Amino acid sequence: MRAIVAVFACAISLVVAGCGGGGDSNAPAEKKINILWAKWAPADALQKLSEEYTKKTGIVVTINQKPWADYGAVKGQEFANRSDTYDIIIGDSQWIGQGVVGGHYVELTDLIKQHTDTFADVAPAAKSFYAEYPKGSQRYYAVACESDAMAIAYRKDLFEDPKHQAAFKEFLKKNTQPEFELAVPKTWEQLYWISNYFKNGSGIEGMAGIVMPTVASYDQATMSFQSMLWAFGGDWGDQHKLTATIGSPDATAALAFMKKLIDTSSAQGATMDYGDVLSTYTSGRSAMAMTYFAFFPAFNSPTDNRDYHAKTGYFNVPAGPKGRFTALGGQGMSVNAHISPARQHQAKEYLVWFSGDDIQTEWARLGGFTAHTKILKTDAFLKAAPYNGLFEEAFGMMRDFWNIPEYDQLLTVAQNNISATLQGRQTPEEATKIMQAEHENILKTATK
Amino acid sequence: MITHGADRWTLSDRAVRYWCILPMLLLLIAFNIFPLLTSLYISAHDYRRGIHRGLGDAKFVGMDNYRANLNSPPNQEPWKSFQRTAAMVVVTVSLQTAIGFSVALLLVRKFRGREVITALLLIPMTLSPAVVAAFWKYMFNADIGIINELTGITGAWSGYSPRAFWSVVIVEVWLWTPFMMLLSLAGLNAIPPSLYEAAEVDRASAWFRFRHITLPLAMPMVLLGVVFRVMDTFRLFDTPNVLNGDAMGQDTTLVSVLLYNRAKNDSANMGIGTALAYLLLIVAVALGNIAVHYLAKMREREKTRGAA
Repeated sequence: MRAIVAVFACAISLVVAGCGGGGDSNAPAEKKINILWAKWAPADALQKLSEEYTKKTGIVVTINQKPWADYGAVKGQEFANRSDTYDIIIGDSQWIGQGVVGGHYVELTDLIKQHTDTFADVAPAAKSFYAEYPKGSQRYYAVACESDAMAIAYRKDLFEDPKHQAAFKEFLKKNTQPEFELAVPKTWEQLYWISNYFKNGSGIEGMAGIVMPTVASYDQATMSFQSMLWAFGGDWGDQHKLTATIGSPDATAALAFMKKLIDTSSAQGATMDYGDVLSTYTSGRSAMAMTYFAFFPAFNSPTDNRDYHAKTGYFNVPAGPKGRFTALGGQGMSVNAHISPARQHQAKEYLVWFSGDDIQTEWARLGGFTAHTKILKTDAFLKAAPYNGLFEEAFGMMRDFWNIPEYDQLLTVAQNNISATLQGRQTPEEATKIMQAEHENILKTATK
Repeated sequence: MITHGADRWTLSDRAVRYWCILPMLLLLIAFNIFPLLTSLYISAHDYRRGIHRGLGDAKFVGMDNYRANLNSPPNQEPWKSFQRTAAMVVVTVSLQTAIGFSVALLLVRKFRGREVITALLLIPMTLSPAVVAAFWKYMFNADIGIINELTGITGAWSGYSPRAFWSVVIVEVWLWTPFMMLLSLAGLNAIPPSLYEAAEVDRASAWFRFRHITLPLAMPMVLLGVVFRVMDTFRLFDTPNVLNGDAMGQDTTLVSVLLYNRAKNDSANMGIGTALAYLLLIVAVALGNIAVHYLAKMREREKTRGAA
């Protein structure tokens, strides 16, 4: 028996010793930087851009790209384990509260102050949404990496076709609607009628009016809903007072409108993810597609959008009865607080390099969306892609979801209820009532 | 244990035994016992892994997390997901058993190419459920999928659509019917031919032979399969998750999916999800015990019948 106990004790001590790991915190940093990001084209662009940094410094930069479905979960594991696997985390804008309050992100306020010239040109909206926590505190924990917003791609060839223009006017008359041209819509209501026409009046078999992310996983349905929510005068709540307002009549009207709009989408339209939106549009099965700018290079690519890349136009989301807003996307770059000071120093130097004007120009050339306003106005940027001109305008319209540490619980509630409403499982009134109650419940114990 | 002989170190038999089990013991502690104890600790705490700076920050709440799960009204989670899981178990296992047993009845007869057909029918079972679900997801796509094309259905099979439940049933039946067929075949092949010969001499009808020879003698193996499938379907996660995600309130939010949903948010109290996992464990152990008891009883009955 004593022998069994001895073997057991020995096993436990070996396991404990094995778990105890951890390197010398004062050791000099290895010449490598590991970055965590999602798997998509901008991450490939950053990997390419970073080759320049390796040439200059000898430091090898690796962008570890995680599929979108796992991206948030990997962040969760890294945070929970206080892991030092990654030097830099390129995190969604909503993560910042959790990163700061949980002590996972290094404060970069002094770094930004020390390099005023480098960071002075960053758009205030980007500084605030990607880096500042709490809002208005002027304390920064990230630098803007991939700025992003929701906008819309549309089939120019269909919109400009005289046959459809005439048929559209007839369609409006038949539905006793005021007449307007089949062109880029100025309001959400106009967009609805255009979408309705392509779905029900254009005579094109299997054509959807519009597609957008609507599925209940991660943040997709919520990101699409937000542009309508704010345009109809609704809001999620007050982040400083930690109060919810999603049960308001304006928010309900916005959700009712979105449901009406999604009814003019395809059969799969109420449960689409980012990939479905791209494939539906590029296969010619939708007249419009609302998604993030970061996906627009695929619309403009002769490879990814072989038949329609030259026939595609772009516009920013239209206005609603109470304003014009777009859902912010994109990510900031933060330094992992759980790595050694030497590695933190090395990571900060990379951030400063990345934010330099020359590098940001190159970043924009490779397809990244910079937050540096000077670059956004250059001819090189504006002419690089047909949608680039819209991007600066979008900056003035950006708003974001909650970014307090409890954002994930608030997001889950929003996702489930918006998606269920779009599929007719509950009414918009029921959905906003449930969201209001559940958000209030979560906010009761939320961290300021 | 280690004895120092005249010219070399030798290990006693007992020492060799202990050294041999040591690696397994290490793995057991690291991957089973340690997580089990940690999760038990978490289930009694309010622990928010995205906010708390380690388990030390977690607040002890006793049985509150268990109460939060158990005190919910029956029309809310987790009871709703238990109801969905029960429905999934009954529907899928019944279909798998009925189809599997029927196919086995056809395959038990000798005909040319029987082995090849049997091998082909087993293919679904050899594939990864997650990969299979990913393929079926494309087939169920309402815009481009072949299912709607063939059936003329125009609505979605995903999200909050009531058809989502049936999409999981179809995939599970496709995946696991071969398993039930295999066990049924084993049971049918084990029936002594002499019983059928005797029945034939007595001019027993086909139905009589099926009812009084085939069914009772093949049943132990079939029921063994049913027990495995019930327990496996009870903890079903990969198929509904790949086909339809992990959102709350969908008809595919089975209890394992709910468990993941409750534990996935970094700012949420992970203790509630962990407590649910322990409740699930208790139910699974209870179900397992009932099944083992039933099987043992059945074996005993078989023995008695054999002796008679």
